[in-house]
Amino acid sequence: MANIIYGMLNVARTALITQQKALDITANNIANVNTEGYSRQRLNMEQNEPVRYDGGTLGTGVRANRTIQRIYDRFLAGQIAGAASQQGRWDAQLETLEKAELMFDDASGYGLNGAMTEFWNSWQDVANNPSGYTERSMLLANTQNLTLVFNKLSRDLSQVQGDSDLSINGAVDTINSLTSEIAGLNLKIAEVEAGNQHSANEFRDQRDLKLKALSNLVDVNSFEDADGYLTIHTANGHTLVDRTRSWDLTTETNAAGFQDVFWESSSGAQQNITSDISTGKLKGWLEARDVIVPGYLTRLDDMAVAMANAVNTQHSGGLDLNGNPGLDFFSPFTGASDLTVNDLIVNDTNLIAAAANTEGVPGGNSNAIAVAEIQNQLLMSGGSATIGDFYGGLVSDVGRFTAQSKVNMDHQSTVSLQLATYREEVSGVSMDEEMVNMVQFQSAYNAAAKLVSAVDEMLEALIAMV
Amino acid sequence: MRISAKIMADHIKANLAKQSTQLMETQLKLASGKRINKPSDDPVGIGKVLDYRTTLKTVDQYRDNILESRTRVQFTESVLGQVSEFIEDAKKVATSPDIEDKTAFAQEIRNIRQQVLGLANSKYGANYLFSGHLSDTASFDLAPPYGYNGDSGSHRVVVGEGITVPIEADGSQMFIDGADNLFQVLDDLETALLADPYDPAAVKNTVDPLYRIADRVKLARSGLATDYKRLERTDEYWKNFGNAVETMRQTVEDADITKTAIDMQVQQTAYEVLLATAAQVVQPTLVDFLR
Repeated sequence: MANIIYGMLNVARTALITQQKALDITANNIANVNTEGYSRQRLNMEQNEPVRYDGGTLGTGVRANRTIQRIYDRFLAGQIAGAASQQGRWDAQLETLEKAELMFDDASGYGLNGAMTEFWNSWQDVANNPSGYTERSMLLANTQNLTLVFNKLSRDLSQVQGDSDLSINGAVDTINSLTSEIAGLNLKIAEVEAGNQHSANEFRDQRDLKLKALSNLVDVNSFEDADGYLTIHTANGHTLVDRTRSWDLTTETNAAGFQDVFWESSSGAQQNITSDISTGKLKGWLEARDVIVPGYLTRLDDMAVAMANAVNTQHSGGLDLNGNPGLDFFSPFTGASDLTVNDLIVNDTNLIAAAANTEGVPGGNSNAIAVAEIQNQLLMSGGSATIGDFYGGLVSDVGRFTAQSKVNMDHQSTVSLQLATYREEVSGVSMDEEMVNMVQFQSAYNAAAKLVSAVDEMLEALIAMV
Repeated sequence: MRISAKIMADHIKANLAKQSTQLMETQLKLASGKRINKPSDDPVGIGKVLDYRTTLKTVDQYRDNILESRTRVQFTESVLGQVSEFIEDAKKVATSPDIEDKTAFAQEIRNIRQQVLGLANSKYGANYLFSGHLSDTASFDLAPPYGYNGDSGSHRVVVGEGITVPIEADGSQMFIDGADNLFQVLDDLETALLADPYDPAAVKNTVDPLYRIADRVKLARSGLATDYKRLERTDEYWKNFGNAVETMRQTVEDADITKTAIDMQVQQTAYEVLLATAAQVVQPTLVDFLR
C-alpha cells in the first residue's frame, strides 16, 4: 500500500506544478491586458495515464498539455486586414483632401472668388474715372492680388501633391521593413512549431499585427500554409512574402515627376504596379496625387487661361492714356502658377487701356467697361458658365470630394471598430474572467498543498507505528 | 458575449472622440456665426454662397457707379441751370436794350459771357465736364471764335449686367446751335451794344440765336433729368435686389444661432453623461471585490 501513499504525493506534486503553470498563464494574460494584438492564452489540462494493478486502477494526477492554446478566430485576421486596407485608403485620402481644401480659403471670404470680384469691380471704377490715377493704381493692385492668389493656390496644391508623394515614398520603405519582418516571423514560427510540440503564440500575435499594418498601407492577399508560413501577394499576384523570403517594392520617378511604385523580382527586374494598387494608404495618396488634386489644378489653370486670354484680347483692342493701342494686360503665361501682370503696365498705369479705339482719351471708358463685362461672358465649360460659376463649381467639388472621403472614412472606422470589438470578444483578456481563473487555480493549488501535508501526516503516523 | 476591458475602453474612446468632434464643430459654428466654415461642410451650399457673394459685391459696385454718376449728373445739371439763368438775362438785354445805359449793359453782357464761359469749362474732379472724351482739354477757347475743343463722346456708366447709361458730355451740343456759338453770340451782342453809331438791328440779330441756344440747354437739362430718374430707379432696384440676395446668403451660409446654441447644450449634456457613465463603467472589476 505504501506505493499508493507515495503515488498520492506524486499526484499532489503534479497538481501543484500544473495549477502553478495555470496561474503563470493567468499572470501572463493579466500582464498583457493592454498589449496591442495580444490573444489570451489557456492551459489545457489533461489526466495522466492511470496505473492499473491487481487491486484496481490508480489515477496518477494531472498534466499540462505542452501546447498552450492561443484563443483566436482564424478568419478574423484576414477581415481585420481587409478593413484596415479600406480604412487606410480613406484615411490617407481624407488627410490629403483636407489639406487641399484648406487652400481654398473661400469660406472665410479671402479666396479667389473675392479677389476675382475685386478685380472686375476695379475695372468699373476705372470706367467711372478713366483718367484717375487712384482708380488705375487700385486696379493694378487688385490685379496683382488676383494673380498672387492664383499663383499661391496653384503652388499650394502642387505642394499638397508633393506631400502625398513623400508619404508614398515613406510608405514603400515601411512596407519593405514589414514584409521582411513578417518573413522573419515566418521562420521563427516554423522553428517553434516544428513537430507540433509548441505553439508560437506571441510570434503569431506579432505577425497578425504586422499583416494589419501592411494591409493598412497597401492591399495584399495572404494565406497560411500547412507549415504555418504566411504567404503574401500584392493585389495583382506579385509575391511579397513566401516562406522566409521577402521581396521589396521600390519607387521610380515618372513623367510627371512623381514616384511610381514598382515590384522588384528576384532577378532585379522591375514591374510597375502603381495602377494595380486598389486600397490601402498608398491608394489614397496615389488617387489624391494623380487624380483629384491634378483635377483641381487643371480646372484652376483652365480658369486662369480663359480669364487672362479674354482680358488680354479685350485690353489690346483699346487705347491707353497716351492714345496708343493697349498691350497684353498679362505677361505670357502657361497657367495659374505663373500668371502675372505685364511689367510695362506695372511700371506705368497710364498704359491701362480704358478707352475703346474709337473713343477719345482720357475720357473714353468703353474698353474698361468691356473688360468688366468679361465676368458675365459664358467663357467656361464649352460656353455654359461664367468664370465665377466655374470657380463656384470647383470649390463645390473640392468640398464634395472631401465630404465623401469623410463619409467613407467614418464608415470604415465603424467597421474597423466592430471587427476590433469582435476580435476582443474572442481573444481579448477579460479581467473578471482572469480573476475567477486565478481564484480557481489558487484554491486548487492550496488544496494540493493540503494534500501533501495530509500524506505527510499519514506517513508520520505510519512511522510512529513502527 | 465576452466583454474585455479593451472593448469598453475602445468604445468609450471612440464615442468621446465623436462627441467632442461634434461639440467642437458646433462651437465653431457659434463662434463664426456660420454653418459653412469649409467647403466640405456643405459642398452645394458653398457654391451658392460664392455666387451670392459675387452678386452682392457686383451689386455694390453698380450702386457705387450709380452714386458716382448721380453726383456728376447733379453737378452738370446745376451748371447748366446757372447757364440758363445767364442766357435769360442776356435775352432780356437783347430784347429791350435801354439806349441810355447801353455801356452798362455791354458790361453786364461781358460779365455774363465770362461767367458762362467759365461754367462751360467746368471741371468735375480733374475732368472737364463738357469736352466729351477729351476730358483733359478745356472745352471752349477763351477768346473768339470760342472754338469747341472736345469731341462727341459721352460718359458711359455701368448700371447693370451689360447695361450702360450714357451721360451727355458733348459741350458742342449744348452751347452751339448750327453756326451760332453762345459765347460768340454774347460777344456780338456786347459789340453791338457798344457800337457807335448804335445799330438796334445788330442787337436784335442776337435774340434769335440766344433763344435757340437756350432751348438746347433746356433739352440737355431735361436729358439729364431723365438720366437722373433712371439712375435713381436702378439704384432702388439694386438695393432691393441686394437685400433679397443677402437674405438668401444668410439662409444658406449663416448659422441659426438659437438652434445652434440649443444643439450645443444638448451635445454638451450628452458629452457629460458619456463622461459620467465612462467613469462608472471603467473602474470596477472583480479585483475590487476580492480580498
